[in-house]
Parts: sequence; C-alpha cells; structure tokens
Amino acid sequence: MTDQNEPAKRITRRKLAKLAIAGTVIGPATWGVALKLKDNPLPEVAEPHLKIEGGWILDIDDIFNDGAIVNTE
Amino acid sequence: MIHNANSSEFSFQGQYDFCIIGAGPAGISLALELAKSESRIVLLEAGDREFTEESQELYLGELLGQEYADLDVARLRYLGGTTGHWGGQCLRLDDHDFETRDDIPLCGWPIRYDDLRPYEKGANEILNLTSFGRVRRALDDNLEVVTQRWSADRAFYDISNTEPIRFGPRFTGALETAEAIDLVLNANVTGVSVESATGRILKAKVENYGGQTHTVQANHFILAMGGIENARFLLQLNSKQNNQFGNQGDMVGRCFMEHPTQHCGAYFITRRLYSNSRYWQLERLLRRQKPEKAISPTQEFQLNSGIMNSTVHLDRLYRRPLNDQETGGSEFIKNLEFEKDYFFSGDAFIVSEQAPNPASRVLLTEGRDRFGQRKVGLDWQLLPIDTKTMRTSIVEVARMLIRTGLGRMQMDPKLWEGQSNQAYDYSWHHMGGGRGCPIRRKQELWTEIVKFTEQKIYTLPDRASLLHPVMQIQRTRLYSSHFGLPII
Repeated sequence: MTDQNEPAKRITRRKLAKLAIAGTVIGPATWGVALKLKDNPLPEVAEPHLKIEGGWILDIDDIFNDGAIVNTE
Repeated sequence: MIHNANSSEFSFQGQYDFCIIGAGPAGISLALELAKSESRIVLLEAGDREFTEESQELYLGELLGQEYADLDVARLRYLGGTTGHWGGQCLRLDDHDFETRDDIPLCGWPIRYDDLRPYEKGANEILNLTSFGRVRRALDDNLEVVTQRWSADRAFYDISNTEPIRFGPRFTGALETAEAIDLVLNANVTGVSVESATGRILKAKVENYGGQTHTVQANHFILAMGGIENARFLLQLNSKQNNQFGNQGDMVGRCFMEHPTQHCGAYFITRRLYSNSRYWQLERLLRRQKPEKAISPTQEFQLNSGIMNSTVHLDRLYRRPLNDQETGGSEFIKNLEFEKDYFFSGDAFIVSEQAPNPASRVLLTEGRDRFGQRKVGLDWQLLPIDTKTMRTSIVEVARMLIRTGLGRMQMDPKLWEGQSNQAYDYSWHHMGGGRGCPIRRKQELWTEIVKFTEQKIYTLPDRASLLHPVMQIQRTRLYSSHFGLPII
C-alpha cells in the first residue's frame, strides 16, 4: 500500500510546487497590471506658463477657481 | 613623535625642512607624504588631541554680513581640525566648474580637473574611498559609492557618503610612529621672523597656553589652517610686512564663498511611467532611498541663463498625500485629476555655487585674542546672481515636472520674487578667502606660488575641510609636486 501511494504523493507535491511558482509569477504580474491601470499622469504641458501660488510653482492652467495669479512669469 | 608644547620639558630641536601650521586634513596628509622623504617635518597644532575650551574660544569671531554660523561653532580647533564634525560627504566637481567665464568676473580656476586626476587615487585612499564618482556599490559596511546615472539633460551628481574620517584619531598612530614628524600640540603660532633683505620667513614664534614661548626654525613654512585662519594669518602678516605676502592686489581674504542653501518645500509626483525614458529613470530613482538625487543645470543652460552651478536635491518620494499646511492652503491640487491614493511626495532643497565677490571677505577686527592677535571678522555677502542661480535652477526643475506631467514643486515665494536681501542657509564650507590675486590663468597661479616659494611660505588649499577633502588633498599634492617638493 505504501509503495502504491508514494507516486501519488510526489505528484501532489509537484503540483503544489508548480502552483506556488505560478503564484509568485502571476501575483506580482497581476499587481503590476493593476498598477498600470491605475497610472494617472497629469497632462503634459509643452510650454508651461509658470506662476506661484501658495508656494507652489504651477502652470497657469492648474488654477480654475481660486487664487489670484501672482507675478506670472 | 607627538609632543605637547604645554609641557615644561618641551623645546624645538634644531632646524626643520618643513613647518606645517595646522593639523587638519591638509596638514596631516601633507606631513605624512613628506615623511616618506628624508625631510624633517614639524606639524604645529594649536589645539590638543581632543576638544578644549581654551583652544576653541580662539576661533571666536565677528559676523558682519549675511546670517551665518558662529565662527567658533563652524570650525574645530584641535587635532584633526574640522573633520571632527564632518558629515562624511564627498562630491566630485564638474569638469566645467574649473572653466573661466567671461560673464562672471574673477571666475574660473587656473587648473583643470585633469590636472588633479593623477592624485585622485591617493586622495581616495586617505579618505577610504574607492571608485570615487563611479558606480554606486558597497565598499564595506560604512562606504557606498554613487554612480552618475545619466547626464544627457541634467546630471546626477556623484555623491559618496563615507563613514566620516576623523583625521585626529585616524592618523594619531601614524603620526606617533613617524620618526620624521614632530607633531606639537598646543602650539599657537603668534608671529614670524622675516629676513628684511629677502622677505623670507626664517622662524616662527610659538606660544602654549601657559605663557611660555618657543621658536621654531624651518626652511619652508606651510599654512594649513583652513579658509578663514589662513586668510587671517596672511592679513596679520601683511599688515606688518607691507602686503608683500601675496596681498599686493588687496585680494587676501576677499571672495569668501559659501554654498547658499535653501529648503524649497515639498514636491510631488503622481505618475508612474512605463516607457524606458530619462524621466522613467528619474521617477524610479526618486522612489529609492539611495542614491542621493540631485538635479543640476547643464553647463550650457548655466551659460545661457547667466547663472552659476547648483544642485536641486530631491529627497525620496513616499506614497502619502500632502496635508493642508504643505499645500499652502491652495486648492489647485483638488483641481488636478489623478487618483488620490497614487500620490507620492517628498522634500526638496537647493545648494548652489556662489559667484566670486570681492566684497565678501575675511577681515581683521579691532578685538584681540589672548595672544594679542587681532580677531577675525567674516563679512559674507551675496550678489544678485546668487539669488538668480537658486531661483532659475528651482524653476527649471519645476518646469520639467510640469512639462512632462510628472508633478509639481514648491519654492519660497520670496525667492520667486527675486528678493536678494534674505537670509539663506549655508554649508560651513569656507571657500575662497586664501586667494592672493585675481587668478585667471594657470601661469598667474604658479607665479603667485613661486613668489611664496621664494619667501618659503605656502598656503594649502582652503577649499574642503568639509565637502571636498579629496579636492584639498589632490591640490596639495599637485602644488607640491609642481615645485619639486618630495610628494609622491
């Protein structure tokens, strides 16, 4: 009985190992894809029109509602 | 051998080949090099092996210009000098830092970095550095070397963070066993004897803290006291010797320079890039603790903008939102469209080069110290170009962040307005005060040193007891070898 069961055990361990390996590869890959989907860049500004507000150097389009434009470059 | 001038049995024995005044990094390095020859060297240290109040208080001075650290705090007056509180950072200068610029008066070096390169290896060994300015890799538990990642647009500086070498404890053993070196502690040089016919220095008067006076004779006298004390010593000497010691042009003590520093505030990045671009590399680097990251204007941009060199240091980014205080009450961030949990922020600061300014100077005040020596005054001044350098550099980095959609950055509104009369932080680097003439070309430097050579007195590079010890040691070796001194 023992001899007949051992191949089955080895196969199970091998499968488990494969699953573990697949997990270590697929997991981060999925995570990476998820991150990529969350990539959310600001719009590129070819010719920034700089100003300062609240100590921040901003493009003039950064402000829509508030704040007076100070000393526009 | 190590002696103590405070000891009642102490006296100088015979004539020395070299008398080095100041046992900081330059003085100790030079003494150990000279000891490889047949020369007899006396190395005079005004302080003791360790910190003492009676020595340190002799560094008291008057601050007359920009806000600055008290002079008895910014320097250390004992064996090993200011390396006793050195932070351990070494930074390789850019090649173009040495070049003369027509738009910056008194700018430029009489040498090029290539002149120093042969001495780089030896200097690195003294400071326990290897591959200075090369790929970042661990040398040992205490030393990492930072690579220059890329330099197409803006260069990352090479910054090596070492375990700071305290020259006192590090080289005490070597100085103790060096038969050719007499290191004399508590030896304050308070006067020199000048041969009237030749202008040569024949001997120096040395006082201890017990009121006893000694005389030391040497063929060559070498000043290695740092950027402020070298200038102070030469100014005192010239005040009694008709300015013949390199001060015919009234330049000794002038063009004192610092590295003006200012905290910019926060910066943030909201974007992860997947394309292999320079900005992708930047973004990846900014998420790492090491290496230190700095963005610097190119030489061409400096020339076109009429600014000096600078580094805008960007600290590591952490995934965290900015609070209301950090946003300065501005609502603009709410208007930007990005995922709120995908927001990385960090701090930034700028360190810039200062343009040579004769009005920024080390000078003598009317006060006297316990040895009757005139106390030192420091009138650190900035020019409008220095403010412009900081402003332009920060704005250019911010412009890059906006142009690429990476993020935004803060700066001091006063600096944006170009206000030049504000206080800046500083780096305790004490540069420039030792120049003897408005050096522009190599030959002028050699002429100046030859003049000193004829008088048997030399000044060692003032630059670098802190940020550029490698430079200081390299230059010491360069100058020495040029004049046939037995330096390897």
